[in-house]
Amino acid sequence: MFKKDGEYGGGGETIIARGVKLEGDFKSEGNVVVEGEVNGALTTSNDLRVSEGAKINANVKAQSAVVAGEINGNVKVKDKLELLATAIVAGDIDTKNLSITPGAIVNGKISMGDIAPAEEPAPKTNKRESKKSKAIEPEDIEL
Amino acid sequence: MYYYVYDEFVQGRKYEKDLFQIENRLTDLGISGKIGRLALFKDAGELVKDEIRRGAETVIMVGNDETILKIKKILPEVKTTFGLLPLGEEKQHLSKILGMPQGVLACDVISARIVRELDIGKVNDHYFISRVLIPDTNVAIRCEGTYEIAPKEKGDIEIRNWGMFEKKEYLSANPEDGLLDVIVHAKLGKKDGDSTALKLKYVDIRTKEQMPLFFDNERINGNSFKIRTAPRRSRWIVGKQRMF
Repeated sequence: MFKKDGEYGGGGETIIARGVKLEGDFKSEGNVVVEGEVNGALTTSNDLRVSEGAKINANVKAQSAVVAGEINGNVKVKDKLELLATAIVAGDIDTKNLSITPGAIVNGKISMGDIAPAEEPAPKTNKRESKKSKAIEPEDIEL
Repeated sequence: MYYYVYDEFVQGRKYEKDLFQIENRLTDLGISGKIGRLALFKDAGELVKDEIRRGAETVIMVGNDETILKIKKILPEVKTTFGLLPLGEEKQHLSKILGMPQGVLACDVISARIVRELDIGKVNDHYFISRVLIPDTNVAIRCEGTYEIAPKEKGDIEIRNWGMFEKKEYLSANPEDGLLDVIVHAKLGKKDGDSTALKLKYVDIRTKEQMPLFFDNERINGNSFKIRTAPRRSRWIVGKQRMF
């Protein structure tokens, strides 16, 4: 996914390496690897990797993400969020698919899936109508 | 109409035989043209611009990296197609990036005429082709006006346009994407750390004290640098072996 030194270019990838601090709102359309420190909102329409020892002090948005470092802010991931054993997230998580390795720390609310918010209970119907109503099949619920 | 510009160093006896072969091959391929010869105190850029005014549609520089650098200031001003016919062993990094083989072999590549529009970098009022280097600094770089990156300890900052060769290693960049490759080589204590890499349209650097900045074969001192790219502002004949 990411090239080594001397081979950059072509892919549009961004690497914030250890020993480097980024201040301000960062937006990217390519893959992003954070190994250093980011103080500001981080948004990418592609993949994000937060390496062990990395620290992000802001809200994060990405298509998919693998986190082994620390995020102090809300995390919104469209597709899959993977929290590795060394991950620390102090903020709310909103994602479609979530994987948490034992050892990872999350202090915040977790929202998952594309399920629509619960509607108010429907008014009581007579028995005939209730017989006609279709039973909810498991495949109707997308997790 | 083709116009061939012979650099000063290729006009000696050493390259007489090579030039004879090249001129014959160009005639065989039907792409021979007028020849201009660079000399001391002759402005290469003005020489080429004059010939473009007279109708030259393709300008082939015969020489090496230095030959291209002599005319880089006129590249964004003209819509002419340029090419490099590499001669001599030294300073042939740009020819490798463009995929141009040495000597007479380049004639066939010129004839095949694969043309690409390439970016030209600009630092303040100076154009650059390969890269900008700010050595041993921890100055903050303002990126596209929205955020700043700064190494915690001193290291080299590179801003690549076409990229370059250093100790036979190709420091790559994409000269066709309209973006600069910003590489920050951070240090961790005494060790070299990993490199930060970003693709950006422009960066600004400001410091309180004067600092040196190197680009191509030039050096400037200052405390405020605006580094930009002029996307696809030069047309080049390239070979299949090009590095991008």
